[in-house]
Amino acid sequence: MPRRIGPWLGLCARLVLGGVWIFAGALKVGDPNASITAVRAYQLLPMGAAEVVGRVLPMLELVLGVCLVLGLLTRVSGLLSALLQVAFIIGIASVWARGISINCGCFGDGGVDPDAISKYPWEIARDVGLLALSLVLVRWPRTALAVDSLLFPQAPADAGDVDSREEEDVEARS
Amino acid sequence: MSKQGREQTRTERAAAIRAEQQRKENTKKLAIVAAIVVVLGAIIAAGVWYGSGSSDDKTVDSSKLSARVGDHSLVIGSADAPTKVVVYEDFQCPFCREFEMSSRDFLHEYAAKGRVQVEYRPFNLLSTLPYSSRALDAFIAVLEKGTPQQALELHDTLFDNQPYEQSSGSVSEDDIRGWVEDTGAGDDVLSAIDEDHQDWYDAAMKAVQEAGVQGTPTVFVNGKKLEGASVGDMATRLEQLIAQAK
Repeated sequence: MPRRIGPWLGLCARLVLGGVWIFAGALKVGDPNASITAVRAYQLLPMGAAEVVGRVLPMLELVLGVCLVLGLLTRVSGLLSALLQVAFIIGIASVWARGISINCGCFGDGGVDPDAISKYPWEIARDVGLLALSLVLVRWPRTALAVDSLLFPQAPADAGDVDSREEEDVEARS
Repeated sequence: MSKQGREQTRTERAAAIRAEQQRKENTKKLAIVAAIVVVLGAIIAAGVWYGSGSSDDKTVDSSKLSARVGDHSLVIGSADAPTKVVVYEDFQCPFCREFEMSSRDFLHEYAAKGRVQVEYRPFNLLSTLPYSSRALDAFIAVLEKGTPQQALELHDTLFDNQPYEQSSGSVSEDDIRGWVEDTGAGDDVLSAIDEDHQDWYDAAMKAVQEAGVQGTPTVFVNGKKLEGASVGDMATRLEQLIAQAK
């Protein structure tokens, strides 16, 4: 990735991903019972786990979204974002394979929906796209206008790396 | 020691110092990351705790609610209450479960204060799924041979333990029998579970059709069908209607 434009592309990835997470979390956070129904509709997790996921996921999505927008712990956030997308893709693929027709519950709603199966390919495609953006941030976590740049100033660490490499070269020559 | 050797030691020492600096730098970084993760975790936990709020601290002891057996139904609360609610439901229906979870606490609370009467009318809508009828058979037995309080306790237990539709048969008749025993019901109730309840089923279904019920959960408030964009929306409106009624 070129040095100049890379961080700004990273910023775009952060804002798109963060925006989607905040939107998804905000729509669900006010109604934990609906969120539990949405998770249960996948008929995948043990009952107790479905309840915990239903309660925790909306808040987790909100906080993750805010971290991404701010550029706070970008690599960790990108990794968590990627893992969640993988989980969602597995979830949708699994209900698709079992012929269960449900609203994915990605942005509120959730539960049984007889016309949902035709939407599964698009939902998986969307999640694959979001997964790709997440992985971009894992690979290149240094982005423009990020809180991370204030917390973890880049220059000394990089300089150190360069120095040690030069050192090795010197040693090799002598 | 040769000149070359001394130089090498010096370089090694310099490298060791730099490595030490790097190590300190990394430790500091890790500490910052850990601190932020802890704070974020606390924010998430606080939000989850706030959202699940009052569900843990039950304000009403449901075994002390006034309850009676209705016409193919269980009725809780006073007949003089200004708001009368009828709930048509199926023990295997996921949205009925959600409605139950979203409304139980405030319905019990208002019923205890004499502000609402709730009539639960379960019926066998999802007739292809075993849990729907297994649960209903046990509920009928407790309604007919047990006490209304036992029926209410079983009603709540049946929704709390609702299985997924695809594993509807995973809850065995013996499991349900155990829940009936937990309510304190006696042997006459347990043996009534296996009796033929077809007449009860038919009468309940006839009432459903006469009421114009199309699906579950369907809720009537003082004879008027409760509308809502979602189950959560229905529960919120219901709570408002009860609170406003004088």
